[in-house]
Amino acid sequence: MRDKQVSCEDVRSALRGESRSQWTPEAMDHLAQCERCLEMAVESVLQRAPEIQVPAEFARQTAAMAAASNANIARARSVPSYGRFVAVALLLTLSIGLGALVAMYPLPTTNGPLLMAEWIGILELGSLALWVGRPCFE
Amino acid sequence: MIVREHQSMVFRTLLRMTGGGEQIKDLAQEVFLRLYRALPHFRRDAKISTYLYRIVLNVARDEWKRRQKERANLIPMMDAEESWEERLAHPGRNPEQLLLVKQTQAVVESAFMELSEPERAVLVLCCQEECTYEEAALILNLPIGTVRTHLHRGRQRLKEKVRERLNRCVINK
Repeated sequence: MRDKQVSCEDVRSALRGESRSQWTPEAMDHLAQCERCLEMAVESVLQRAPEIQVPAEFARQTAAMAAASNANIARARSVPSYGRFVAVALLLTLSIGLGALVAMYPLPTTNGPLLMAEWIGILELGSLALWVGRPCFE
Repeated sequence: MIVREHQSMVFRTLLRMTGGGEQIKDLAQEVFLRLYRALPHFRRDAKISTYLYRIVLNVARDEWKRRQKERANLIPMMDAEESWEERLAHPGRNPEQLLLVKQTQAVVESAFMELSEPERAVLVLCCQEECTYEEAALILNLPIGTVRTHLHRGRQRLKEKVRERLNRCVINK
């Protein structure tokens, strides 16, 4: 420690809040030079929680905001999406119509694998309709 | 109920992580709104405080990025170094503000804001909030070894930065 005027004890008691030492160039110089005092200064600031002032109505306002946000989400969900309905209706019509056609008018030349492929295609259309329309059914 | 129980922790962590500002209340509200939206997915085996710390750190990170962007867009009106020196002692301040303990706090806090985000987060969690290494690792989703490294490196860098500032102050006096 180069400084004779400010001792480690002066600095440390000030940092502990036991004395009212002033911010002088000597004190700064001491802090910059003395590893232990610098460490104590850093640790004491890190460990001390900053002074905060929570607004009195904070909890109530936050609860109100959460409720409002919840209502907005519910409102957004309740808005009907016509495009989705149309897509589901078209897909269902297509899959049911195709299924009916295949069932009612089987071609005499249709062999096993081809018929199977047709049914798989129809099933895929039906599944697609269910997947697209999932939010509508929830 | 949750808000009342955790509001102090949210405010003080946000304050340390962002360095304060007028938006702290808005940020704290954002934290609780995010928690509220995430509650349906909340796993009961986890502690709500762990979950909340994560949200606080994410909100602080977003705010930090926003401020960085804002700062980058602004034409620098003054030297960045002057901003913290401005906060330090000068004859116009009252005796209470000139106390060694207050000024040391100002120097350390301004130096703290220059650390990297993970270093600040680990220092806040382990020193201010008294979390264990395991808790900090869980909150930050980092291995315990990395938490220890950030803590050690953060302390070292903070001391270096504080020392630099003090030396510059002494030279200026």
